[in-house]
Amino acid sequence: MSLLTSSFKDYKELQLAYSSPAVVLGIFRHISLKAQHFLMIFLFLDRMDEKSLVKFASSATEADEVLQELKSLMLYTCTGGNISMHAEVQKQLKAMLNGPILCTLRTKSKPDKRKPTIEDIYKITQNNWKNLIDYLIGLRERVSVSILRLLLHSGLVYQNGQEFPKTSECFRFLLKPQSIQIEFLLKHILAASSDKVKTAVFLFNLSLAELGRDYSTKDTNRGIIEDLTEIGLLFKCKQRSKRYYVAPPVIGLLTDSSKPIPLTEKFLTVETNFRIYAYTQSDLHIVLLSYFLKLEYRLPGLVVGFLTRDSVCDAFKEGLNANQIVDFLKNHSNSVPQNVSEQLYLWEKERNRISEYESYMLEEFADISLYRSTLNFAQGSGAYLWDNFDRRVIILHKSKAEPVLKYLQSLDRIVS
Amino acid sequence: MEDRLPAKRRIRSPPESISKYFDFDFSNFKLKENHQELPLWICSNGHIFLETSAPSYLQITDFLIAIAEPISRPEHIHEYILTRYSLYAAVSVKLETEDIVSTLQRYSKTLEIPSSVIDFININTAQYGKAKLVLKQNRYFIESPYENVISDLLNIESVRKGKEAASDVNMEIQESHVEDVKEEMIRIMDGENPEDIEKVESCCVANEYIPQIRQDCHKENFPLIEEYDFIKDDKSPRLEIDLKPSTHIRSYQEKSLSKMFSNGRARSGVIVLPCGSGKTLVGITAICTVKKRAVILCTSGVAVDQWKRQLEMWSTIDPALIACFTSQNKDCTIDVAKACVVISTYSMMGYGGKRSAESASVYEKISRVDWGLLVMDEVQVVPADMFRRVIFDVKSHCKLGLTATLVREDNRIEDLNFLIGPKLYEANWLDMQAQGFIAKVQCIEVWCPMTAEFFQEYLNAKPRKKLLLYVANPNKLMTCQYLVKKHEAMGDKIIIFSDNLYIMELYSQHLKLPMIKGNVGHSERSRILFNFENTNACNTILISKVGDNSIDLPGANVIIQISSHFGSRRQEAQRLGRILRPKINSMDNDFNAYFYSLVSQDTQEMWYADKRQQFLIDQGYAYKVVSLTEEIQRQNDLMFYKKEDQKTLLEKLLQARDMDDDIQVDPDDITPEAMSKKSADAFSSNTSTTTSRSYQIQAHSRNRLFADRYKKFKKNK
Repeated sequence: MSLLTSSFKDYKELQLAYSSPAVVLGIFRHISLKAQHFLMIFLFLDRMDEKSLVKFASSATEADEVLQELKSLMLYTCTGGNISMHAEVQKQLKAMLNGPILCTLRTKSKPDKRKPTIEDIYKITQNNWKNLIDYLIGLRERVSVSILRLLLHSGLVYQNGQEFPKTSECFRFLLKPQSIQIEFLLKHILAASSDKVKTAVFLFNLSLAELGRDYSTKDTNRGIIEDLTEIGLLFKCKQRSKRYYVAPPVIGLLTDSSKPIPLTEKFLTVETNFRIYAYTQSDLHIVLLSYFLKLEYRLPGLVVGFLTRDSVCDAFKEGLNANQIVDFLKNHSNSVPQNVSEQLYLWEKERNRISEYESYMLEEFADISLYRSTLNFAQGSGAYLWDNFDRRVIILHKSKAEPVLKYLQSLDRIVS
Repeated sequence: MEDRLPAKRRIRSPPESISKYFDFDFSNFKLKENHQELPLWICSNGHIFLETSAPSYLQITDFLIAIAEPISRPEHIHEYILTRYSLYAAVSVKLETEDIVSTLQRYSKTLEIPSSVIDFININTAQYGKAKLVLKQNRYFIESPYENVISDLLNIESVRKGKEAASDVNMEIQESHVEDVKEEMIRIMDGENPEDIEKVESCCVANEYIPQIRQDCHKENFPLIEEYDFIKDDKSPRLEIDLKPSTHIRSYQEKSLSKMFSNGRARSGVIVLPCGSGKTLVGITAICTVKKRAVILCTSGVAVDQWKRQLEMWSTIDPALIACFTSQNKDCTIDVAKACVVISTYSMMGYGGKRSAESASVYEKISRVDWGLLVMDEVQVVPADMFRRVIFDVKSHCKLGLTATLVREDNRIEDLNFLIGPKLYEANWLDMQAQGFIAKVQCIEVWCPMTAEFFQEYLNAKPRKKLLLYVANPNKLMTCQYLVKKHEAMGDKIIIFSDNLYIMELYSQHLKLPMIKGNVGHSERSRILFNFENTNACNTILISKVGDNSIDLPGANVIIQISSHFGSRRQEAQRLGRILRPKINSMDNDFNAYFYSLVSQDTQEMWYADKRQQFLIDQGYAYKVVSLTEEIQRQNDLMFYKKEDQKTLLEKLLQARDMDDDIQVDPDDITPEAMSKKSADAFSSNTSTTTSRSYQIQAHSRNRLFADRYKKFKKNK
């Protein structure tokens, strides 16, 4: 599971995190079905011969892949050809069979006097999330310093003097569904935190939280709660309040693979003539579309644009690829005509087919032997790009041409 | 007065910065409550978007086709534009200003429609019907029941000159006409009180000024009505002709004719129907309706024969009354005193040089009398200057233009509004395909990589040679052969189109295929076509550009295009038209015809291919791009499979003197350079007709030339 593996360099920390049922559940729900299947086989076995494991997979390579996946998460140990499951994980998984895993976040003993309605939580957290996105698409001027730090850390923006321009990672981020965006940010919050085990346990538990229930801020450090509140993943009535509520999109995000993926709005109509009609009033949609469309008309509730070679190539330059654009179109429309998606791939292919190098050309060689020796030298020095024997032409990387030129000069001296 | 609404950019600046992304921002309009059921988005620059999913789609399509030009009609959302010509066409089929505005208002999703659109409609429709152009005894008259209209019109230079040139007639006072004219006008203005019309002013104008007069009057917003009351015309002899009882007219043919003949008169104009959907029958039905002398003009001798056959097949006409005036048949006997039908070609009638005695005598006979109807097939070729003459020498009460593709790469398609009349009807290709009236064609663009040797030569070649090299690219030749083999095995009938005669001969020799080109005689042509249609001995034929139009091959279902005329959208559509005749299994959902366009990768051909496809893409066709390189490499019995053969071919091509192929100067000869200049012009004026299209052309010029980059690369060295 990406959220964990990339954050924990230290296996000890990972082991500690496994003492939390929420973490184990989160891991279990996010590994591949095959890996889940393997874990279930292990559940009541103390150890198993590595070779007999192949029986449970369709092929040796598959067994290997699954073991790799489990190993990256430290879910099993192997001693003398015998495989056994991580004891703590085994225990947690067994417990899971007996009943639901409960959220271990601490609650307040006294009820909240200013308890917000669920609608309020929805509205305010949604609005805060929108503010973040608006900042990323350039419709808002600023975010708080700590969020900016998070964005820098997660590579969505970079620092250039006083400016914080968006990276190409940011363009890709924006085209993704919200659940993936949230997971991405949580991963970076975890990676940046000082006590990773504590944070991981906290974040996984958020996913088990109950909508509309208040929790105490004691489970993790203030900074994380503030950040999560600012980007609309948690809700607090007042900044100084000691209790928080969890935003709906976070609930179930990490631990519930059966959570229905919210239906993405099918607001796009893609035509065979490369026109795209977007039934939307959302600024976010418009900005996203502007990344790869030539926008033409904006009507109340309808945006009309054109997919052109130039507009798409601009998007490629920003770091998007054809697959991401096609995915975006497919996610948001009922169908993408084949000629349009193929064309996007062709544009990309065409772009990748040509590379330009600054180069240096050598010609008018006095004789064949000079040509040959220069060629040899150039090939040896790594400066060689292309040559043509008939025309006695050699082309070199400009940046690496220097030694070859020196070599030629030295030959000159010998000749003269 | 502009032809279109000026494309004002960002009319009001909406508060949010988001509007910076748009050329046009109309988001401050209010939507109606039931906007989801309504089909139209109307923009202040005259563009209209139509949602085909709306319940009222069918009614509103008929209406929009009458008042606006379709720009593109793919599956879900159609785009139209209001132009003054389209509005002129609308009023000439008796739609009134208020009807147009109120219908748009009713179907618009927004509460209000932009005032600029309403003004544009008012300006371009208000004056309609004040003046009329009539043909009487071989002379043209402008007539008006309104005082001062004629004198106003005389301020227009061409009208004044036309009147002066016809002074011999104007000297006599045209009292004799006045009564007729008055009666006519009362009918036209129906509803108006006849007493208001006290006097009809009339002036004769010389024939040669007519197109200019039409155009100028149009510009001054005095479009001249030209309607022919053929029922009341007892001066021209009656032609005995009717449709045979067995002849069945399809709904869209009837609809198009109803635009021409509403209120019992005939009006001139153009009917646009896809190839293969029965344009000929529309022309024949028009002749059967008017029942007067008629001239039919087509593009080639083969087409003349086809028209004659069809006339005899569908109608009850006495074959003795049909005269074919062609280069093979210069001395045809015509008795113009009686009603008859003359079928001829544009080149025959529009010939400007000295004619043979027989030809001159026939021509003189034709130009002496008034014709009831002039039917012009493939009318998109008419605006060429040589064809203008035809229209003036053949004086007809009514002109019917027929075409599938009302596009030319020059802007002269608009001339048709003055030369013939407005567009009366334009069918929707996708709808007709869905109903099985035309074949369901899969368009496929096959990318053929250039061989290294050919590409090397290509980069250094002169333009003419470049063309030859990308057309003769061995990979392309092999792809073609591969496709022929594949489709012949499936029992298909294949046409290979090549503009380049040299390459055509090469194919013909190697693949032992019959070919039809300019210098293949009439009888030989007929024999080849007969064999292709009726025997299994010949399943593939090669045709040069002489076969783009009017060769009717109902059996053919596969086209392979190996060389084509630069960026001509018209040629692409016309060629597609050769396989559009409905196929037996046409109600199936599967494709039953294939149109392959073979394109050499990294060459100018890619650029042209994009441009050529634009018309069909606007009609809703989708080109699938494929590469058959791997399949080709698996074959080892294709011609030029061996490197040595490729090398010999290349040497031969390089030695060949400049190819004297039959490419003439044609409006479609547009090079990338000329095109970019043109689109620059179009953008600066914003009103040019190419604006919207050049946008799209830019949009699809997906393959900026590899060679360009190569040059840059070279410079960097």
